[in-house]
Amino acid sequence: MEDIIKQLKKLQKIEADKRFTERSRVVIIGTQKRRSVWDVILKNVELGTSFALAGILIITIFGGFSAWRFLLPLKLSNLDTTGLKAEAQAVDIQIQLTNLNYDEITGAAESTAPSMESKNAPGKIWAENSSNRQPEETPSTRATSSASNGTLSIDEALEKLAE
Amino acid sequence: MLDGEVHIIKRAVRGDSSAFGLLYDHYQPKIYRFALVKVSHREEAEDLTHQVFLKAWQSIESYQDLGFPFSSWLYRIARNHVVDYYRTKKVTESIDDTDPEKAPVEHSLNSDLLEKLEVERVKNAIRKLKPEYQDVIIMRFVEDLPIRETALALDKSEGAIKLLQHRAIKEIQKMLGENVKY
Repeated sequence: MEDIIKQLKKLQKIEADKRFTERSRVVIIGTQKRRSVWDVILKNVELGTSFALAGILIITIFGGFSAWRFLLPLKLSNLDTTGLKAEAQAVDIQIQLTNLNYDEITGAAESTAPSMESKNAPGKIWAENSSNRQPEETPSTRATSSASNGTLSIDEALEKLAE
Repeated sequence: MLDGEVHIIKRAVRGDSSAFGLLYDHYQPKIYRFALVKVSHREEAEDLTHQVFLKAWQSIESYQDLGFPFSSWLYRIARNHVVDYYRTKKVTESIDDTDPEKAPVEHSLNSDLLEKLEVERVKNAIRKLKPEYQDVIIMRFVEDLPIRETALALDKSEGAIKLLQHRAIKEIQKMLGENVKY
């Protein structure tokens, strides 16, 4: 093993011709570096970007952020905030829960109806639709109708007790 | 490693040709030896060495110091050039047919004839190895590169280099042993 390594070490004596070495060195060092068009463009873009960023930084520091007023793309100087508020208040959107009846005997029967005060309110449309609709017979309504026929409701029972 | 190599490389990357000249002076003999053992002819080894350093100078801007030695970067370029050389070159003479006594003797080897023949015999034995065995033998035993640097140059793990080294030594031992019998 060591003999082999010793033999391999003999190859370290190999040297290049001195004339070749000198000539090659001069040629390589004297060679102009090739630069593609993309390299040049990339370098210029890098330089331009760094200058632009440095400029923005300087403006930000010395301008004390007041420059943002001019740099903002959308100017809102024509915006009338009081007018907007008044407009918002004029819109009458009132929805009230009314006529909530709770029937303990039959279970639960509830109805909600929006206020009819506003002519433009969507409740009006809802009310019209609901008045046109035929009352559907549900188990609960059936129960209430039967209750009114045979048994007393709490209100009626209370009225009778009061008498 | 060259004294102040990191600084010299930085200067060379910035385009300082004199800095690259220092790198050339230090690494050229190693790359030349590598090329000469890989290809049999002196002129072709010179040509390859020249191309390797030209390529290195042209693309040194892309070199990044990521903890890899500069030599491993150069050896990679050299290996690629050797591969290209064998891909494009029409080999007219079989390596097996090369007679060590007829092989060209280096100008610088002016010692006695037996010594030259011994060097040629070892060179020829290396050339008969697989390319990856050749690389490991040259880098580890001719250029005395540490395992880590060899692994980086050959893009392999340190374990793989140890294994390749073991196999390559066994192979070359067999070859040189057989030659001795003649």
